[in-house]
Amino acid sequence: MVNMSNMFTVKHNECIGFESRWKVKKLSTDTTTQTTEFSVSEKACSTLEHESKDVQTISTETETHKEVDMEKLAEWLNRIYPSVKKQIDNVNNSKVLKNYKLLDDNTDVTCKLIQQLKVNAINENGDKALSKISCAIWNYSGKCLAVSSNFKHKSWCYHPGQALIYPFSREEKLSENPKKRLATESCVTVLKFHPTNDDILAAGTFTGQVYIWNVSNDIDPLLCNLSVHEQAITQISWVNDAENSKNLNLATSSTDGLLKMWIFSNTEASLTPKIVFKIKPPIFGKLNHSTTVPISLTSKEDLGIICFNFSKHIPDLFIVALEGGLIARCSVLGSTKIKGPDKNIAFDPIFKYYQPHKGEIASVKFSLTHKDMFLTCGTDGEIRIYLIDQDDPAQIIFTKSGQNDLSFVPHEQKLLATCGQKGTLEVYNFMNGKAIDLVFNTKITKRNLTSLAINQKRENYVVIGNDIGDIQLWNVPWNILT
Amino acid sequence: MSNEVEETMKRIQSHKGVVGTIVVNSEGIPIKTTLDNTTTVQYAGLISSLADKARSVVRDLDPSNDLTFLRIRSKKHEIMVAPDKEFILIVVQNPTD
Repeated sequence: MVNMSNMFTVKHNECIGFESRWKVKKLSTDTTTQTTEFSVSEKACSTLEHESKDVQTISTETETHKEVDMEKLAEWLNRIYPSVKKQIDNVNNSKVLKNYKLLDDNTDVTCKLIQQLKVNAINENGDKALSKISCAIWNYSGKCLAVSSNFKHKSWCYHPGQALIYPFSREEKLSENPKKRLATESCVTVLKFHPTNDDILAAGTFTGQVYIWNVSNDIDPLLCNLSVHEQAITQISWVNDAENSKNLNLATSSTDGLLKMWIFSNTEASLTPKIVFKIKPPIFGKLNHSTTVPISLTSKEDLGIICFNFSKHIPDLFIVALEGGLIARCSVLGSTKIKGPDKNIAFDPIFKYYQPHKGEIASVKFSLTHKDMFLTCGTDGEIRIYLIDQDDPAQIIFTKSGQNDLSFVPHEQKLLATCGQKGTLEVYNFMNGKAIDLVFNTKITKRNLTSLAINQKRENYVVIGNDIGDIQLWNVPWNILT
Repeated sequence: MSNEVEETMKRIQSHKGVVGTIVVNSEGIPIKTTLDNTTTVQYAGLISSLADKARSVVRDLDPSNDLTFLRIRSKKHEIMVAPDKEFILIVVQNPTD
């Protein structure tokens, strides 16, 4: 028999109480983690420049002119004149700020070569070939450069010519390839943009033709084309009408000895003759005896016109440079009719001759600030400063090599930039006649430089063309040079 | 009288280094000038407000004081301003080297 008491035992466990948890609040917190910074940026790019213009046809404001008491003004001016005079004299005599330079003044006087482009002309066989840059010119807003190149000609020109248009970008560089090629029948010798309408470009060719284009017109840019001279056109310029300075005329000169003025109508796209000037060489030897110009040339009956320049201050006055280094002062209103057949009516505008250069003249320019002063430069290596009423030059700057082009520097009244056989840009202070030494950031192959153009809006940018078809864009710190 | 004004301006203009002379009224409007239109308007507007500011600075520093002349020397020019109640005379000069 199994003992039952061993099978069943009684065990008493101690009672354990526990707290009721049904009312405990659950606590929780939200956290978010951003592992990387998140940013959004938007940029908009517009490749085209947009310009919007509004026209207000009816004047909303009535102009009010306040009468100025001139008596009071005159009395006041007279009263303060002595003190103003004293102050002006103080400024002139003061040497306090002589050679003073600002501490943070940028003294980097280096001329930097920004870009060099090759411009190939097209030869008789239609192939691209090296040729000299005959003309490089900026338009007046400085956003566009026109370049032409040509070959050396012995007699007539059979090359197809062209004018190339390079846009000047916001990054201040020229585009690598021309935006436009404007074709001509023969080599282009000169180019000139219209002074108020940036799109209009005039060109003269070796065979005496004038082309006028609207460069913004992509389909048919040619406005007019006219054969105006019998020989090569040497200069083309937009000049103010002597009778009504608001009107602009086109003036062309040629080696045929004629300077012609034309009325250009943009709306009718026409060129109508206005007046023809025949520049006659002096009867008695005004030629320099020590001239290096061939006698065959100086004994020519009609000397060709090399260049001319109209005064900005006196629209009637212009200076003409002839073959053989001759310089003549001319007047539009004072010109006299030359006797001859009616179909060839020409006027003689010569007022007087100045002492000539010893070589060929390359450029003649009126001073922008002094109305009675003009400058000439030539292959004889002389830059001459003439006063209009004085036969002999007021000053001669002797340069070591012949000059091919000359330009005044905008906003720098004393500076003059030239280029020529030296192969680099040359700068002169024409007030004291001294050359200013330039430092170039790169070594360049020196070639005969044929053309020089300073951007009128961004005057530090200068384009130089040479005799093998290169155009160089330079940045020149003019303000530091002074 | 206008001739007399021009005569005086010519006299100032004939001094060495003087590039231009402008007479401006109290509102900053040019009355007489020897410079071109754009430059004149720019100079007249800017210089007259500068002259006003300069005058108020002088008066704020000492109420019994007043501005008689203002000369501004820049890298390129020296601008002289003769201020008055009704007119301001501005002379732009190229300092000699």
